[in-house]
Amino acid sequence: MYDTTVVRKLFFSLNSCILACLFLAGCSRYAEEPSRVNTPATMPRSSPSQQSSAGPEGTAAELFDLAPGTWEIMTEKDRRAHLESLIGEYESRSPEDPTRTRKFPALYFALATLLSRSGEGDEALEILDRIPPHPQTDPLLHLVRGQVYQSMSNPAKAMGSYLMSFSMDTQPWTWQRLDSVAKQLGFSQQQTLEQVRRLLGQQAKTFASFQLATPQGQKKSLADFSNQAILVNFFFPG
Amino acid sequence: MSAVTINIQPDLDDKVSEWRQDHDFQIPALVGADPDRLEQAYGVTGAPETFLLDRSGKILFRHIGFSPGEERVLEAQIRVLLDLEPFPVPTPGQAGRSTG
Repeated sequence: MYDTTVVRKLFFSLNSCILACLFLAGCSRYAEEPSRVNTPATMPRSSPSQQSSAGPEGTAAELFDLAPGTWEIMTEKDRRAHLESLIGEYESRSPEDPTRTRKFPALYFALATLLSRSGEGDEALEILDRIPPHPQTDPLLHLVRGQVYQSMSNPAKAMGSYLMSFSMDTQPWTWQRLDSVAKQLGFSQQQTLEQVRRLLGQQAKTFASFQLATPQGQKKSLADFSNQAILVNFFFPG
Repeated sequence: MSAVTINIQPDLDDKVSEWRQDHDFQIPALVGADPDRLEQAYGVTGAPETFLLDRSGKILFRHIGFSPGEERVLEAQIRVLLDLEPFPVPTPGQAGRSTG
């Protein structure tokens, strides 16, 4: 399982505030313990400044196996070489090795971001293509891909990626980016939403039914909540 | 529209009733979920996470996480996706404002 906390922290380290905000909502739920839970349902997600007591330097050091402050003084070339080395080391581990996935997506996102910044969009996309599909990271993957396409002055592909991301996780900041690039292409909000709807319709995944119980022991299935629309929320009492 | 919330941490199942009472939580809550099944069936590994389904159980949208003010965004998205009213979805800067 992915530890998406490190993915979120990555973007503080890279000083990418927009993406940091993105990952806050998507990933702040994940605790350091890689297999389970997170934030109580009533607890608001924290702001970027609250994300790490160690600060950006600490998160970079933690993420990239470096001494504190090292990442900040490294050149882009050194950063890239370091990330490539870490990725090589991670990829050499067995897929069954649980430590293999711990920083796995974060390293790829970081390297892709560096490549994109230096105008190597195609290389950045290749790096992103190497991230295995996963429901928790796929929306982020499409969002970062959209940003890479934007850096390559390809708003049409950027829009496609943002549409995918938004259809997987309806985050407001994804909508902002989607709407912005769509407007560049001459689409109204209504037209963009229609595309979102169409995409959702194409995906049309069915929510698996369940057999659970109320705290009082009464058995309940999804059918018991049948209505024009059903909102299913996952939480835990914290 | 109906709503249900599912506890994802089995070791806290016995805290759900008290928690609902303490927070005046009106939405029905369910317990007894198997975390492995939640991950396999829904890709859910954390909370909060919200799905909006249509009558047939098709997923209309999925929303990961939550922050204050975002309920307005969610409300607007639900209305739009259910064809109750047209866009625009509020932007994050507008999220805390009433949409009237």
